[in-house]
Amino acid sequence: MFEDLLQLGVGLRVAAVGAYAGAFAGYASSLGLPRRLLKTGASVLAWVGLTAHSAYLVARWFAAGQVEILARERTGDVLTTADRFWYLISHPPFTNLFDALNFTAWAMMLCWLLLQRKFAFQVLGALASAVALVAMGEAMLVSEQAIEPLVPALQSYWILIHVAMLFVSYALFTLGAAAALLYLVRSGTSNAILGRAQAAVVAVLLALVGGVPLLTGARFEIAPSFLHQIPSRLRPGKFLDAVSAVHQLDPATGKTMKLLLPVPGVGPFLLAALLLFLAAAVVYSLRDREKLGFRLTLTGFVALTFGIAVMVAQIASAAAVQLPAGVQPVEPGPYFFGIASNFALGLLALLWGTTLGFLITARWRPRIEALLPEARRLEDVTYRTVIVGWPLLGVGIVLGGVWANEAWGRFWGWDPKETWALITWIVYAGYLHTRITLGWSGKRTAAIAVAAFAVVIFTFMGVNLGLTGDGLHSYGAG
Amino acid sequence: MVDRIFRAFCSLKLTLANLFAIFLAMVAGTFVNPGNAPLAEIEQAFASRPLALWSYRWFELYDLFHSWWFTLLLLSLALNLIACSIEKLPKIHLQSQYPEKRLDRAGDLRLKASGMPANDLVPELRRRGYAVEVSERDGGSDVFAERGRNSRYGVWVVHLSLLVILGGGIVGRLTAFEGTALVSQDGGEVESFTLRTPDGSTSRKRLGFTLRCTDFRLKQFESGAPKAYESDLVVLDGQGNELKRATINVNHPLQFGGLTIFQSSYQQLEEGLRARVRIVDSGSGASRVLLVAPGEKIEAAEGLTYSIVDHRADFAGLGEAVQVLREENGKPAGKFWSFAKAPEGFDARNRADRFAVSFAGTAQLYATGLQIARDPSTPIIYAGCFFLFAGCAIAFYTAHKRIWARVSSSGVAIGGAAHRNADAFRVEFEDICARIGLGAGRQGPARAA
Repeated sequence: MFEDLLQLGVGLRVAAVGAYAGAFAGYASSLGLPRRLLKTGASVLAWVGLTAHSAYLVARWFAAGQVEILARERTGDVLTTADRFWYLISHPPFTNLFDALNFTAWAMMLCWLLLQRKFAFQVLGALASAVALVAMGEAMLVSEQAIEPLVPALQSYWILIHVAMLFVSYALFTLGAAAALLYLVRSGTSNAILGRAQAAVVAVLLALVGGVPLLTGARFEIAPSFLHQIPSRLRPGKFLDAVSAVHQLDPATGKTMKLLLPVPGVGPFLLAALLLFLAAAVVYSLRDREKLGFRLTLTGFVALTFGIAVMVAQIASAAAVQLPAGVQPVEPGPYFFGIASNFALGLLALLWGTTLGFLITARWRPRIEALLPEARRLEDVTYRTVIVGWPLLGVGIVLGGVWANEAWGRFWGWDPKETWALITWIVYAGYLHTRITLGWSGKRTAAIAVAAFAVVIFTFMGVNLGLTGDGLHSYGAG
Repeated sequence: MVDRIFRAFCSLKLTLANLFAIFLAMVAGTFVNPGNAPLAEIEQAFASRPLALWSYRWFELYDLFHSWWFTLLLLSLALNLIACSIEKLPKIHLQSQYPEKRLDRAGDLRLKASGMPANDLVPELRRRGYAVEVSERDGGSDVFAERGRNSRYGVWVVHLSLLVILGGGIVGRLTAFEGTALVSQDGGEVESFTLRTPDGSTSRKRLGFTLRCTDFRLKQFESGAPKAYESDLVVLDGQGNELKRATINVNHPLQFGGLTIFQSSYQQLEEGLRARVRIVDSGSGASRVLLVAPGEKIEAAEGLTYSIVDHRADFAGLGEAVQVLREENGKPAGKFWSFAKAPEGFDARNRADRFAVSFAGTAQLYATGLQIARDPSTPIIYAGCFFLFAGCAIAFYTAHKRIWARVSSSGVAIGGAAHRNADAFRVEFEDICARIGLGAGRQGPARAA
C-alpha cells in the first residue's frame, strides 16, 4: 500500500518538475515575446505543477506515516486507532534533506502563485520557477531518499507547524529579495555598485563554504558516503540499499567523526573563482574600471561553473573514491561522493545563479531594464512579502520555543539555529522600521532587503553547514 | 539631567545602534563557544594564550548570552523601549482620540477630489463602516469620517510586548534553573540533582521529594535506529508514600511540584549485567518481572527467597542459563538451573514449587538521564509573544483612515488620508468618489497627488 503511494509519488514529482520547467520557459519567453498566450500558459502550467507537487507531498506524507506505523507494528507495538491516526500524520514531508528541498520548491511556487494574483510580473515567475527547479534537481542528487522513522526528538506534533511556517517565510523572503534586486536594477543603481556587492558576497561565501582547506590548500572537502544494506522493514528477507556518511576515529579524543575528503579537481577552480571575485570586487570599487571588473567577474563565473560541474559530475557518477594513505574509516568500503555536503552545493548553486543574473544584467542593461515592471511596484512586492513573511517567521520561532519548552523545559536556549532565526527576525524588523518609522524608501530599503536575505541564507544553510556550533537543529546536515 | 537621559533613550538612532550591537553580539555568540564547553575546558585549551583566556573570563565568552555585558545591552534596549513608549503614548492618544475634523485644516492631503456629486457622501461612508460626524458652519457642512482609529495603538502594543518579553527574560535569568540526575533503572532513587552552571562548576539542589525509577526502556526499530526512550517514574514523599506515577519519554515530560522532569539521556551502568527474572505465583496466577543483581535475594513470600548464584553464557550448548538458589528461613533449600531459551523451567522441583521462577535472559543495567528544569518566566514570555503578534496584526494590517469633506451649495470638496498602506486606501478613496459621482463628469477626477 505505502509502496504504491511512493510509486504514485514518483510520477507526480516528475509531472511537477515537467510543469515547472514548462512554466519557466513560458515566463522567460513571455519577457521577450509579450504574448498573452505565453503568460496564461505559464501560469496554468505553474498551477498544474503546484497541484501535482501538492499531491506528491500528500502521497509522501501518508507513505511516511505508514512507514511509521509498520515499523512500530513490526517491533511489537500494539497501536490503537488514535495512535495509528497520529503516526499516519506524524511524519510530514520536510524532515530530511531530500524532502526539505522538495518542500522548499513547493513553498516557493505557492508563494509566487499567490503573489501573482496581485503582481503578475513574469520575471519574478521565471525566477521562482528557476529556484524551484534547482531545488528539486538538487534533491535528486541527495543519496538518502528513503523514508526512515523519525528519531524520538522529532516525534512531536509541533514539527508539523513549526518547520512549515519557517519554510514558507523563507520562500517569501526569497521572492522579496529577488524583487528588491530587480528594483535596484530598474531604479538605475550602477553596474559598478551591483558588481562590487555581488563579487564581494560571492568571494566571502566561497571562503566560508570552502573554509581553511580551500584557502590554504586549494582543496574542497565533502564527506564521502558508503553503501550498505539494511533489512527491509516491510518485506522479511529483503535487503535495501542505504547510504551513510563515512566516519573516522579521531586519535586524540577517541570519538568517531565524519570523514571529509577533497573532491579531486574542484578546489583549484573554486579557489581561482574566489580570487577572481575578490579582484573584481576591488576593481569595481575603482573609478571607471567597469569593463575590467566585468571581465574578472565573468572569468570568476566560468571558474565557478567548472568547479560546480566537476563536483556534480563526481557526485552523480558514484565512482569509487580513492582514500589517501593513512585514512582508516570505521565503515567498510567502497566509498563514493554522496551529497553529504548538500547545503554547500545549494549555496554554490545560489551563488552561481545570482552571478549569472548579474552578468546578464550588466551586459544587456538597457534591454533588461525595459523588461522590468515599474520600480515602485517592485518595491511594493518586497514590502508585501516581508510584511507577510516577518510575522510568519516570528510565530514560527515562538512555536519552536513552545516546543522547546515542552520537550526540554526552556523556551529559549541560544541554540545557533534559533539565535540565527532571531537575528533574521531582528534584521527584517530593522527593514520595517526604516520604511515605516523613518520613512525611508527606494534604494536604501531595497539594499537592506537584499542584505537581510543574505542573513536568511546563512540561517537556512550556514548553520547546517557546520559553520557555527552543532546545536539541536543539525539533523538536516546529512 | 533626567530629561536629557530620557531624550537620549528616546532617540531612534540610539535604538538602532543598540539593536545593531545586539545583532553583532548574537552573531558572535554563535561562534565563540559553539559546543557550550564549560570554562574548565576552555581554560585548558587556552592555557598558553593568557590574553584569550583573560577575555573569555572577563567577558564571560564561554556563555556570552548570559554575560554581564550582553545583559547590559538588553537592559539598554529595554530602557529604549520604555522611553519610546512613554514618549509616544500621548502623541498616539492625541492623534487617535482628537483628530482634526475640518478639511481646510487637515494639512497637506495626498488624496483630493472636488466637484458636483450625484449621490450623497454620508450614506456611502456609513455603508463602508465609517463613523461620520457632520457639523454646520458658514452655510455649508463639514463632514469628518474615520475608521480604525485604534490601529494607531498597534505600534505601542508591539513595543510594550517586547518589553514584557525582555522582562520575562530577566525573571527567567533570576529564577530559572536546569539540572540533571542519573537514576538507576532498578528502583534507584534520587532526592537531589546536579545544577548546571555555564562556568562548569556544579552544585546539588534538593528536589523536595524522592524520585524513583522503576524501569527504563531503550526501544529500537528493526534497523537499530532509536524508537523511543522511556522511563517509569514514581514520586514519593518523605515517608515513602506514592504521590504520582508516570511514564515519561522524549517530548512527554512529567510535571511535579513546579518542576518539569524530562527524558534527556541514558547511560549504561558500570556494575554490568542484571538477570531478567519472571516469578509466577501458581496459586494466584500473579506474575512479575524483576531485574536482579547476582546474589540479590528476591523475597517471594514470607521466609521464602530466591537468588541467582551462577551464570553461564552457554550451558552445555543449551544457551544462556542461571543457577537459582532457593532458601527457606535463611537456609538453603535447593538449587536449580533456569534457561533463557526454555523459560518454562527445566527443573522439576522448580515447577512443583508454589512459585515458578524463570530466567528471561540477561539485560544491561541502565540509568535514565533526567533533565530537571523550572522556568517561572514562561507564562510571561508567552503573554508577551501573544501581545507581540496581536500588536503586529493591528500595526501592519489595519490603518487609521480618515476622510474630510466640505459640502456647500457650490459642490463638494473631499480629501482623505490613511496613516498606513496608502496604496490600498487610494483605491478605496477613488471608489468612494466614483460611487458618489465625483470624477465621473471629469470635473475633478480623484487622483493621488
